Amino acid sequence: MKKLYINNGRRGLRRFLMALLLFGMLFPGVEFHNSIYGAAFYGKGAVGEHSVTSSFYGPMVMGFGYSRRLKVGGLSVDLQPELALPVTLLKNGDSGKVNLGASSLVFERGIWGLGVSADLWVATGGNSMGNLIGLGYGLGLLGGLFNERRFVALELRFADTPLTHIRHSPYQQGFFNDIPGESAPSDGWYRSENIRLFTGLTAGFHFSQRLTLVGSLGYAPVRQRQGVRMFEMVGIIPIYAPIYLVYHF
Amino acid sequence: MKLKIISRGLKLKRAKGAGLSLSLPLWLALGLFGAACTLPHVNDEGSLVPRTADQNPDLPQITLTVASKSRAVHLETFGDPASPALFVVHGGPGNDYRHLKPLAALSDRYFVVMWDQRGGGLSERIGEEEISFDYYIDELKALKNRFSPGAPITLLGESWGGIYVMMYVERYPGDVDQIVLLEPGPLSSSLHGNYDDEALSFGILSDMVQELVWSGEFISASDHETLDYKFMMVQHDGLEPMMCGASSYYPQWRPGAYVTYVAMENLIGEGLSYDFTGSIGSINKKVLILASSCSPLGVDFQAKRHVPLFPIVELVEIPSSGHFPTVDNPLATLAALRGYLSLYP
Repeated sequence: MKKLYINNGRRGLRRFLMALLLFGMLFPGVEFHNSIYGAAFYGKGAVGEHSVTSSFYGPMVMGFGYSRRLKVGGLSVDLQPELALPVTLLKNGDSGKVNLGASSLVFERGIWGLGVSADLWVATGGNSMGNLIGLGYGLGLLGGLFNERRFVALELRFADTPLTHIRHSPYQQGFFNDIPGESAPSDGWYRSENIRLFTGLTAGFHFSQRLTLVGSLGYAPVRQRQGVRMFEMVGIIPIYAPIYLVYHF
Repeated sequence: MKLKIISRGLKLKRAKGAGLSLSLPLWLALGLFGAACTLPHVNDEGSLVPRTADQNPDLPQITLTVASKSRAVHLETFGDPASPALFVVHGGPGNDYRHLKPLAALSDRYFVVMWDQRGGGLSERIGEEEISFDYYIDELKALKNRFSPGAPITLLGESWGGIYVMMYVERYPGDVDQIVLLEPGPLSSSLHGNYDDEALSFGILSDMVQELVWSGEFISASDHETLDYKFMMVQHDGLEPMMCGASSYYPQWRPGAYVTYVAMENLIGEGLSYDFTGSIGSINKKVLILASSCSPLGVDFQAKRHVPLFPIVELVEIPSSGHFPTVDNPLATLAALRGYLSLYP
C-alpha cells in the first residue's frame, strides 16, 4: 500500500495542485479560516509530533502553519503558529495574518472524537479606506469520526475582532469635507464587533502516516443588524472552503 | 466557602513570593480592558462615516412624512424662493447630491432644490418597508408641495434620478414644466441590454472584491455605519468604469448602501420588471437628454433606446465626461442646461 503512494507521487502532486487551484477558484470562501486544529486532528496515527500545514482558502489566500504536539497535564495539545497571506493583495505588501492556535482532542471513544481549539491572531490589511490592524480571537469545536485512514467531523467556530487600529486614507477623510458639525475621523484604535460563526463539515484523508489532505466546506455568516448581506451585494456567497495539506514528521 | 479558598490561594502564592507575578498580568489585563472600553466603537455615530441628519442637528434639513414615517432629510436650496423651482434628483438609489452641487449655479434664474433621498446620503436611514416606487413618488410630491405648491417644477434627474423623474412625470404630468435627463438609466427593464454587465461587473479576483473580503477580518457590515463604510470601499474602484479617466474623483458624503441594496433587490435590479415609458408618448414638451462621451451608458445607448421614445427630444453629448458629467465636465454640462432651460436667453 505504501508503494502505491510513491509510484503515483509526482503525477498525484500535479493533480493535487490543479485540484487545489480549481477548488479554490470554484469555492472561494469569504471568511478566513485557519487550519488551527493541528496534528492531533489531522494526523491520528501519524508519525512524529510535528507537522507543517499548507492551506489554501479564499479567495486566493495561502496559509503556512507549523504544529508541535505538547503534553499539558494529561492532554495532548497542538500549538500551531500560522501565517496567512492573501495572494492577490501581496503586491501592496500590507495584508496578512499571524495566528497562534492551540487545539486538543479532548474526548476519544473508539472512532468517535471531540476536540476544541482556541486561537489569537493579528491581521493587517490595506484598502481604499485606509490601513487596518485587527486583533482577534476564535474558539472552535470539532466532533466526528476519526480513524487511521480518514476522518469526517462537524465543525463549529466562533471568531471576533474586538480591537482594530485604523489609519484613515485621504479618500476616506474626504467624505467628511464640507459637512457642518463634522470633522474627519482620527487615526487610532477602535473597538470593533466582527462576530462570525462558522458551521461546516471537515473531512480528511491520510495518504500515509506522513501526509494528510483535509478539506472543509461550510457557511460563515457575519452578524449583521440590518439583515443585509454585504457579500451578496457583490455577488459572493458567504461560504468557506479551505483545503489543507499536512505533512507529519 | 468559595471566597475562603480564593483567599487561601492568594496567601499561599504571596508566601512563595509569586504574588507579584500573578497579579501583574491580571492588573495589566484589567488595565488594558479598561482602556479598551474608552475607545470609540466603529459602530458609533460619526466614527467611520459622517452622521446623518437625524444625528447631526447642524445639517441643513427638513422633516418629510412618507410611508407614515417622519424622517430627517438632508436638503439645501439655492436662489430666490420666488423663482421657478428646479429640483435636482440624484442617482443611486442611495447616493447623495454632493457631486451635483455645481448645478447650484443655475440659482441665478431658478430656485434650485437639492436633497438626499430618504435613506441615502446624509438623510436619515429607513427600513425596507419604506422603499417602493410609490413612496419615492410620494417623497417628491411632498417636496413639490412644500417648495412649489402653486407652480409646476423643472425636474433634472441623473442616472437613477432620470428613472425617478419619469416615474413622477407618469403619475403627475401636470406638476412638471421642463424635464432634463442626465445620463438616465434604462427607463424600463426591457431597455437594459448588457448595460449592467459593462458598468457593474467586477471579477472575483479584482482588488476591490479581494479588499472587501479581506476587510472581513476587521469590520463586518453589522449596521448602517459599517455597511456604508464598506460600501465606500466598493465604490472607490467600483465607480471607476463610470468615470472618464483614472484621475477622476467622485465627490460624495456617504452612500446609503441599504437603500441601494433593497432597491436593487426589489425595484430595479437584474431580473426585475419595471416600465416608466408608458406615458412618454403624450409628453408634448421638449425633453433634454444629456449623454456623456465616455460613459458605460453613453450617447449610443441614449440615442438608440431613449430618444426614439420621446415625441420632442434633444440629445446633447457632454465631451470628456463619464457617467457623472457634473464631476468630469461641469462647464459643458451647465452650458447644455442653459441652452435648454427656458429662463436663459
